[in-house]
Amino acid sequence: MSSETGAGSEQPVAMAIDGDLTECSDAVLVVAISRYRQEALAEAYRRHAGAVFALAKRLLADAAMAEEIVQEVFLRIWNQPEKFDSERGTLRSYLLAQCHGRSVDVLRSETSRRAREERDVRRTAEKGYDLEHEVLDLSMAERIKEAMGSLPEIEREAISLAYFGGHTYREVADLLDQPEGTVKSRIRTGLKRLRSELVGAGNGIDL
Amino acid sequence: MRPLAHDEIEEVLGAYALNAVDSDEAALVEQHLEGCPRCRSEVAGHREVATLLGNTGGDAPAGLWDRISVQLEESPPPMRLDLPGALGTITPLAPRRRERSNRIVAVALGAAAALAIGVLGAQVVRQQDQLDRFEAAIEDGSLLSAANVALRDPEATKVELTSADGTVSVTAVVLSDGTGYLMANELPGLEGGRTYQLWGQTSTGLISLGLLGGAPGAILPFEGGTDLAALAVTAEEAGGVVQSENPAVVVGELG
Repeated sequence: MSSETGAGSEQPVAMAIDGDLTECSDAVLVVAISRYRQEALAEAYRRHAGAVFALAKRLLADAAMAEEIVQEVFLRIWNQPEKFDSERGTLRSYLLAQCHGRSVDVLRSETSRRAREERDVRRTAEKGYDLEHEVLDLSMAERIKEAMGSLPEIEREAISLAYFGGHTYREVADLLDQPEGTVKSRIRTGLKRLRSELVGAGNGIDL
Repeated sequence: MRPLAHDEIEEVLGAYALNAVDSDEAALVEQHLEGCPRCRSEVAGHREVATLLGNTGGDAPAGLWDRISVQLEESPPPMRLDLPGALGTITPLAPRRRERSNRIVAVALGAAAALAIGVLGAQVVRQQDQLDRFEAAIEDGSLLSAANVALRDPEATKVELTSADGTVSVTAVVLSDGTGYLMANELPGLEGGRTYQLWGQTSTGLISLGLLGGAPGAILPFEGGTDLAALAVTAEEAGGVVQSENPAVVVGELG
C-alpha cells in the first residue's frame, strides 16, 4: 500500500514532524499542520492572523464578524492543509485570498445587507483612501500609496470599492454613476497598471 | 446565461480577481478559465496585486486564538490493538492525512496478507440524505429495537468506532455472550458495487463479522465471540473479502 508522501525534501518534513517551528518557512509550517501539530497552526496564526483580521475588518466594518472570518480561515487551513499550494503563492496571500472571498460572501448575504447600507453611508462620510494605517511595512505602504495615487481617479475608486468595499462591478458602476462596461475595464487596466508599478522590473514585492 | 466569448471574458477578469462579479458571471468566467491558460495567468497576476493591497498589518484580537484552538480536530491517538504475538503487532506510524498523507497503522499479519487499519480522510462525501437514513431505520425496525434493548443491557459493552480525524463515529454494542449490533447510521453512503465490512479482533486474529452493504443506516447483528478486543469497518467490493487491503473507515476498542 502506498504510504510515503514523497513531497518536498526530507529536511522540511523532518522539521515539520518534530522540529522547532518558530524559524521554519511557511511551507514547512503547512506540512506540520497536515501532521496535526497544533503549535504549527499557532505559529501560522502568530505570523498572519493580524493581517487576515485587518482585511476582514476593513471589508466587514465589524470586529466580531471579522473574528468569525479569521476563525474560519484558520480552521480551514487546519482541516484542509492540502488546499494550500506553496508553488502558487505565499501562505499570507493564500490566507488573505480566503479571507477576502469569505468576507465578500458574508457581505453579500441577505442578513448583512442592512448593516452594509449603513456602512456605505459611513464610508461616504469618511471618504478618502487611507493606506498608512493599513499596511504593515511603511516603505511598502509608501509604494502602494504612490502606485494607487498614480492611478486615474476612476480606476482608484473602482478598485477600492470593489476590493475593500466588497461590491460587484455592477454596484460600483451604480455608486460611481458610470457605465458597467467602463467600470469593468477600469478595474482591469488599473490592476495592470498597479502590477507594473509594484511587481514590475526589479521592483518586486514579496509578501 | 449564454457562454461569453474570450474578449468578453477578458474584460471582466480584473473584477473577477477582486471577487467583484456575481456568482452567475463568476461561473462563466471559471468555465472559460478551465480552457484558457492566458486568462488564468492574467487572473493570477491581478490576484497578486489585490493581495498586496490587502496585506495589512495590525494585531489579531486577544483571545481569538483560544477560541480557535478549542475547535481543532484532535490528533488521533495512536491506535493499539493487542494482536496475539503469533500474528504480529500493530505499529502506529507518524500521523498522516488525506490522499498523500492518510494516517496508516500497519498491521503485520504475516507475509501473506495484511489488514491496514487507518482512517478515512476528512473529505468523505456524505451522499445519502437524512431521508434515506430514516427509511433504512424503519426497515430495520426489529433490529433497531433489538439493538436498543442490547444498549440498555447493563452487562453489555458499548463501543464507539471512530475515524481517526473524528468526523465519523458509529456505535456498536456487544453483549456478554459475544452477540453484538453495529449501528452504522453515521457511515457515509458508498458508490454502487461497494460494501462496508465489519471486522473483529479476536484471539485467533482478525475475522470478518459480516457485510453491511453500501447504504447508510444499516444495523448489523454479529457474533463476535467472547474474546472480542476491537472492531473495525472497511469499505470493500460488494461480496466482501477474506482479508482486507483497505484502511479502516472507523475503529473502536472494547473496554
